[in-house]
Amino acid sequence: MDENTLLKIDNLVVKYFLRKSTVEAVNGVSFEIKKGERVGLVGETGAGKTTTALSILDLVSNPPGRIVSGDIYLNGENLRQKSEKEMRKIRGNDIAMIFQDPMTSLNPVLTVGDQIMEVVRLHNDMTKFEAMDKAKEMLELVGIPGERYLEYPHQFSGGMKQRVVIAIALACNPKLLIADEPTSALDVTIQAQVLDLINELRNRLGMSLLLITHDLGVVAETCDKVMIMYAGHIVESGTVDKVYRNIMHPYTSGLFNAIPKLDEDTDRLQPIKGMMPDPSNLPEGCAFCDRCPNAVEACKTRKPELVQVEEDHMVACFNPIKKEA
Amino acid sequence: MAKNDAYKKKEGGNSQFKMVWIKLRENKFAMASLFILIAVCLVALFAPLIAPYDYTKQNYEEILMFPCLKHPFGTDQFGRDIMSRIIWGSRYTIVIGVLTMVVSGVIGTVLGILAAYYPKLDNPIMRFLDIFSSIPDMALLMCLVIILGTSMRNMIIALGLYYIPGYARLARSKVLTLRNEEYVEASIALGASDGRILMSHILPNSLAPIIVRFTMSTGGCILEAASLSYIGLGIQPPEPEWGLMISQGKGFLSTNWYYSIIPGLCIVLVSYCLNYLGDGLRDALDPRLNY
Amino acid sequence: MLKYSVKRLLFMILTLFLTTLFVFALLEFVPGDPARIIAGEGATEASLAAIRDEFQLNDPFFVRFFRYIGNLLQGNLGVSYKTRQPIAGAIGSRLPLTMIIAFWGVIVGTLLGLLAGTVSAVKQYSLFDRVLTFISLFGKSAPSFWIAMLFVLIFSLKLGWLPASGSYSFKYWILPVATIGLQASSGITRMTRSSVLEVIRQDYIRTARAKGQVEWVVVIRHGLRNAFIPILTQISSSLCEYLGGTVLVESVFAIPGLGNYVLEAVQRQDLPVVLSGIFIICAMCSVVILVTDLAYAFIDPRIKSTYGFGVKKKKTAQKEGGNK
Repeated sequence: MDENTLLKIDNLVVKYFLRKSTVEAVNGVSFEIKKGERVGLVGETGAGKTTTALSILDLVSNPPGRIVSGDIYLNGENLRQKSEKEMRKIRGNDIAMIFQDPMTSLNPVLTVGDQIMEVVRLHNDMTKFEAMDKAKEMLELVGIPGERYLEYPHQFSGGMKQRVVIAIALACNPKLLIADEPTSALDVTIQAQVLDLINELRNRLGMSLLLITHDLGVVAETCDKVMIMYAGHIVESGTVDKVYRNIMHPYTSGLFNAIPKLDEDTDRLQPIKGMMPDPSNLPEGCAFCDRCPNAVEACKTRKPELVQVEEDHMVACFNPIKKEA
Repeated sequence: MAKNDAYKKKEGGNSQFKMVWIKLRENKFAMASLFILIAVCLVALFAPLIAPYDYTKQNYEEILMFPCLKHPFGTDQFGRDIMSRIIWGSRYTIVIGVLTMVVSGVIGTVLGILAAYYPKLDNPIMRFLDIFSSIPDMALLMCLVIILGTSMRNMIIALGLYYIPGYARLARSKVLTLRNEEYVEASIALGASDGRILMSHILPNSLAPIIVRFTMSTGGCILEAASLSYIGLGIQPPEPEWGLMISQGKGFLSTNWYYSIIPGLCIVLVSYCLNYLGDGLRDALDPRLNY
Repeated sequence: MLKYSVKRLLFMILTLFLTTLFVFALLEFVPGDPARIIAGEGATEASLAAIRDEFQLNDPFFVRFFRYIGNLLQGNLGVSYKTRQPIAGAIGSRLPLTMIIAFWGVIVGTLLGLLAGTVSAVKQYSLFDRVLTFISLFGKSAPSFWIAMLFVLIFSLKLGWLPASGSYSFKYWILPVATIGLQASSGITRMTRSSVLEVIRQDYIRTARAKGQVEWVVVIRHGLRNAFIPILTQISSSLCEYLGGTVLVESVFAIPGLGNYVLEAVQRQDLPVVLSGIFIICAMCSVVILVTDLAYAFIDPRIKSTYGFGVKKKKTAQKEGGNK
């Protein structure tokens, strides 16, 4: 494996086994994240993005979820072969994850300082005072006055809570930060602040970033690489530059068209017709077939694989959009 | 759209019941409990036909007999067949449980609704009920019995009074919450009267917790009734109330343990079934548990 | 914080006052002539009149009531109709017995309940969970006096390990406390289970796991501490229930406690004893509720800071203490 590769996911399959049905959340996802790279994972709700992320840290609720097959390599080591104890050493330490809703991500009965100290002391041999200092330092790093480490989460606003969450995540200097829609629950102005913060910290600390979002604009500003996910598959991936300039998958195209444009004069927005298929009842063939303007016969019966169409650009489609020459 | 929702809630009423029934059916314990309870009700109903002996008949030649073929549950110190007494006693259990719940349920719910709808009445009613419920159960019941006297009717009144605050609070909180729901606002905007809103929208949606409480509280009520009879403040001898029988058997615990233990087992059985049924109903009525 | 405590204390006193008034008024409706109860059967009109004077039974309602309150404040709980002895002394000797049973019973019940409920919640739907639900429903479905008799039957009469009645030493307390413990634990187990189940689904639990925290620490430090408020409510209401309801257990084990005292008074229509007995029970319950309310503030920093900043939200804290 390439020395530069930090994380490699190989054919990951994750399912949720419910009483009456089985949800096929992640269906053969493969990708790599290099050291220091910023990768965006884009898709609608229910596409399987969060499940993919949780699988990396083996945090998928079990029951009812389970990683059925596939491998996850961190620096060459297969995480799926690690014991729970070994995984605990990695969580919060080598790989950290922040979640969507800051209002509920923090324990209401512990001070923010306590919560930062917890992760620090879990992975470092520090005395309580050293940990306290570190907690204050992390708060300052995310733009919160250090003295506030004695305060409780309910005494902070939504944006500041998310900063605390980021502080906790970065306290042990992880190699990879997974951010699952970190700004979706925040006001637009706060969104910008938090994203700037994430960007700045990433530049300073040099870790890799896996940013999960449904916002293509955010990806454009923040990420080097982008992956578009649909119904548990990655349908298009590549550098932001290549993908955005040369959209090939009809779904990606639909996503871009659905964004209201300031410089165009239109009467109606252009949504993608239809709905994402029920993940417990996925169709044979391409999952996007029913909604796809480019659909051909092959799409109904065979699932397309990711193939390279140009440097740094892969698409899973039998009839991708051809760029006008 | 809100009007359609209201429509659906009324029209979908039948299928909602069906859905609840189907979910309940899956819960084996709850269904078993339901059958047992129905069986107990039937026993109570047909007591005169089922009981092998007259429950008052004293037979001094057969006193304190251990359970045998002739007397499956043994006999007491007067030679009365315990099984027959238990069968007849089931009537007290069922009647007291159901009547008390109906009385306290109706009055409590009405009070709760009044308190919620008429803010001027709200404070006095709820404060009064607060004081009522700040007295622990046995103490309050003893107090009420000393005033009313000991008879089945008085026991139902006393127990009924005791359970009213619970229903009132439940009804009031439900009304207050639901009144702010959008479909109710829509109905008001359409000109529906208070009564109509109450009957069509609020009551059907409050029904779930009320039903659950009804089932669970009946269990508690039966225990309270048995407790009162046990300490002599409830049904009086020679009536075959289960709690009373336990108290009568106390003196014979070392020699004829069945005398006290068996009526207790019957109480436990009925109570258990009510609790399991209540649990099952709560799960079946909970729309979130759709796994 | 102090302001809040004082306010709650005053509120408790007010409630207690109103409750006493309520019981006093309620007892006015007891049928029968108090003078005749005191004098016994076959008393002459003259002696009845003398008794009415002696006990000041002819005074109007509120005069008698405030006289009672005045006496209360001086520690005088009245005089029994039957024995004509001061009630305070009798209650003083009986109260500790009742308190021992109730408090220790609830403590045992809490320990059992917390443990069983937490394990049950973490291992939801497992065999352990189902068995435990079954057992804990037993405590709730069986009458306390019957459980007590069952214990006596098994441990006293059949096995001979423990004494069946009396209250002379530690051994004698084991069965009564075990009875209440079993009953109390059923309610607490169920509340713990449902509360922990709800908390364990929260996002901050996931955050704690994502930090690499050990599972049992996640459950206890992050889970239980947040789940504790509704559990505390249950513990507190159990305690109140048993403070008032030990009469059943006392009668099985022949323990001369407060419950038995009030029961005998009810049977004899000894109204002052009933009144003062219930007053003492209510007073104890009020203290329990007060302490619980203050404890909420300690456990949940959101409530603590609400009162630190002087915002008054009395009933909210009591009723909505469990919500985030």
